[in-house]
Amino acid sequence: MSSFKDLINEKPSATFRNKVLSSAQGELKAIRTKKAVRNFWILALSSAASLGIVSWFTHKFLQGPKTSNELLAAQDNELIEDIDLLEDLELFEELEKEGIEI
Amino acid sequence: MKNLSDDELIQKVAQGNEMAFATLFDRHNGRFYGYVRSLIKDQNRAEDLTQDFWMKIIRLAESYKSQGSFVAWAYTLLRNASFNELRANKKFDGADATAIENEISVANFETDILSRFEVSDVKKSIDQLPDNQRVAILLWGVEELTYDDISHEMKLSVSAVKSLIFRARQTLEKSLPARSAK
Repeated sequence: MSSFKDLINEKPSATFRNKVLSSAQGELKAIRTKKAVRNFWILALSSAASLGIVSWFTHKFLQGPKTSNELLAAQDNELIEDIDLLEDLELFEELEKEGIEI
Repeated sequence: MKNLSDDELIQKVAQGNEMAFATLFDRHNGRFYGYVRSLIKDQNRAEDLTQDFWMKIIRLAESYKSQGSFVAWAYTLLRNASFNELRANKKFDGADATAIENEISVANFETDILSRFEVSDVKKSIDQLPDNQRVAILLWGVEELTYDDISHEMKLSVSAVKSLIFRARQTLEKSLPARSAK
């Protein structure tokens, strides 16, 4: 015996089928493109993040002594500047003693 | 692809898979198109609405969550689109609200009507029912909605819905023997 649902079943024409499938192709292609672009950015951002981590790690743990050297060099420079300043002050004091105003 | 379930096909459609879409289309379009065609009767509009429906399925595929069946979800989308069409053409004009308390079941209807008459004749007779009766009997018979659900969807009282289905059945009982009997 047929069911109520069989009543409404209608085979669509081939033209209608082609029309729907052809419209669907465009929509589905747009989805694939959107997904490909999204995947590209996810890959690019995760690669950039990975590179950043690797770079930081290398800098922090593998090039540590170099950083210390750089710090020492910077301290040396500050010391030299301080000595220069002291020398200038001593020169001013001597000039003042001799009564020369600057 | 043909062995995959509706839910699995929908997931592939959400990824842009054309084969999955074609499989889903071939599996269900007969009943979906037939449902819209039965509800609104106009062939061209039925084709337009069904095409729009399939495009909507693609757009909603990603957010589709399997809570029940794909077919039930699809029927809801089709019904909403068809009702918009019917309301735009003022095909819903209120029902004969004579209170009818007799409830008939789909199974009884199938035994009484479909066992006695040719399916094609029953279909033709349903197509000729007044709009309100036709819509009510399709929601009841095809989607198997309850009287409460139909009353909500058609914005009619439950007794009005019962009345519509009762009268639809009466009309079919009268018109069918003239067409053919098995």
